[in-house]
Amino acid sequence: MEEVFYVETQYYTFAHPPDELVLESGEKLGPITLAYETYGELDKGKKNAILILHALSGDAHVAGYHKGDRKPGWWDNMVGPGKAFDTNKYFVICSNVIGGCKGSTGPSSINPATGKPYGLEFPVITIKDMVNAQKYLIDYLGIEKILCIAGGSMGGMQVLQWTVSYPQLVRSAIPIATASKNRAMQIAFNEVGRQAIMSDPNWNKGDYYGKSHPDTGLAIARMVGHITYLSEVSMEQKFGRRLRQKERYGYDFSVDFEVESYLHHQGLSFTQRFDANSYLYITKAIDYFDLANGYGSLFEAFSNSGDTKFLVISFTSDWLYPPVQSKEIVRALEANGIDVTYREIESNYGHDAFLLEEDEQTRIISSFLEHVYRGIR
Amino acid sequence: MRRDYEIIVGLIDKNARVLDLGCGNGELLALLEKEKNIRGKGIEINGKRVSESISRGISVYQGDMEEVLPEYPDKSYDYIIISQTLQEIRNPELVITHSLRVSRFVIVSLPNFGYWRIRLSILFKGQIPSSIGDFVYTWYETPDVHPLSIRDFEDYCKIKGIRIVKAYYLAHDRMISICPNLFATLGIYMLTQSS
Repeated sequence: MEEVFYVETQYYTFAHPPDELVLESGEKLGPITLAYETYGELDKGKKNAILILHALSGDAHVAGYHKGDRKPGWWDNMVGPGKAFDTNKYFVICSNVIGGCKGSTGPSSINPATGKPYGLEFPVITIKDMVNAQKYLIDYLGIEKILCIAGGSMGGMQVLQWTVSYPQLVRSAIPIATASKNRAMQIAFNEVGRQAIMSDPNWNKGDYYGKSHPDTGLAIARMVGHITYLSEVSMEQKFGRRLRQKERYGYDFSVDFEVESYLHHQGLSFTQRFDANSYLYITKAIDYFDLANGYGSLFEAFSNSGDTKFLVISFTSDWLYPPVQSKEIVRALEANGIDVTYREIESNYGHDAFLLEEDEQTRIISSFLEHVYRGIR
Repeated sequence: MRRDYEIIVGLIDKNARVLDLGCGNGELLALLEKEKNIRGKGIEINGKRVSESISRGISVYQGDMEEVLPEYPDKSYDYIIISQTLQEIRNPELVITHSLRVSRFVIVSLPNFGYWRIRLSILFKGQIPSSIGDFVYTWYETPDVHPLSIRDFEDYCKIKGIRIVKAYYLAHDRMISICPNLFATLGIYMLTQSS
């Protein structure tokens, strides 16, 4: 029986006016609070820090338990004592993102200028802005060189942005199930989600705090999103055509199939833990993401990342961020002569595989980290 | 150390950049990193073997060498190793041509299907051998889509104007000097683009 370990979310506030963070859009944001959690101990030379970054609906609570919770953090199978990101060896930090609703400054936070929640007054943010905010946190923690930055999906986008924005700070990087830019299909799914939210009468142009929330819209957005996280095969295996608590078709529009019930449940439970405006802002940040932006090409973007060692991981059945987009990253790195390993893990889980395929990921990530860490000691 | 690996290690200069096509579990690259302090990289299509390479600390690309090799810049490596892989490649000509372009030297090792016991098996039994020395696959299991002999390969190099810098012939780890196409089970070559 493994030992249960407890963690608490911590908060760091910075960019107080007049020294606000200047965003990519040109707007300013401050003060900013970032929620984060840490695990393990920083070694004497501060050389064992690992930064983990989360996906669209994630948070700083990557592993362990909050007091009173029944469920552990979102990547508990990968982060902890003796696990892939071994907290006995490494000091693991997981940072939330700006724009979110999990303790960091976002559209549901109080706007100091008005004393009311920001709503749509909140400036549009980008992946680069998220990373720039995280840089404050890393400075505050006194870490000059991060042993490894890792994350899947949108977390992987932040990983890539870190290696381009602050290459001298990043010893190694593990972008998983991700892409160097959002392509048309990915933008399309995000737009369906946003339209579902904005079409909900409760949305009220983002001004719904203290009133009824646009839960129906947010639930539909989550339902669409959730389909893209699975695969045709995994859905067939999980649900097939099984009926939900009935022997024969209802011949009406109530729930017939298990898969419908599952999506309803996913949608509903999401509304209890996520803010609709944050969903709009974060999906927009993902859509704007194009690492080559401002550099001319992906090759040029990585031209200063030569000292970073990369492990790029994709999954065969991931059709949201398919292997071909990981290969694009790998080729641009290789063309720069950058040390990169690419592993395409066979899996039926679709995009969600990065959260579920723990055995193979544990194997390659733990040895990758060990070799990087050994190389600097 | 395996005799063929010993020969390959002997061919490679210290601190060189080495690309191993079909690197398998990364054994050879790990050996070269230890013995010659090389900067190594592998390409391997089999996921399980890629993971084994990663466990050894090898940088490896999981994928099809025929797809990615044409994209590598000219002379970006000092050595490319094609160790007992050439006979398994769909398009060996493409791989050899690009290897000579991408690397200063190309080291190829190949099982010799002209080995006398194979000839005898076909002559007397009328069967493709499946239990002679290193030739252990039945016809329906073999990954070898392009079986070739030492003479086939050397003829090919002559026709294409590829310079054979060094050649070694082995039979069950013993060096062979007479009639290698008859007595050797393995040929090891160091090639370079003729100027």
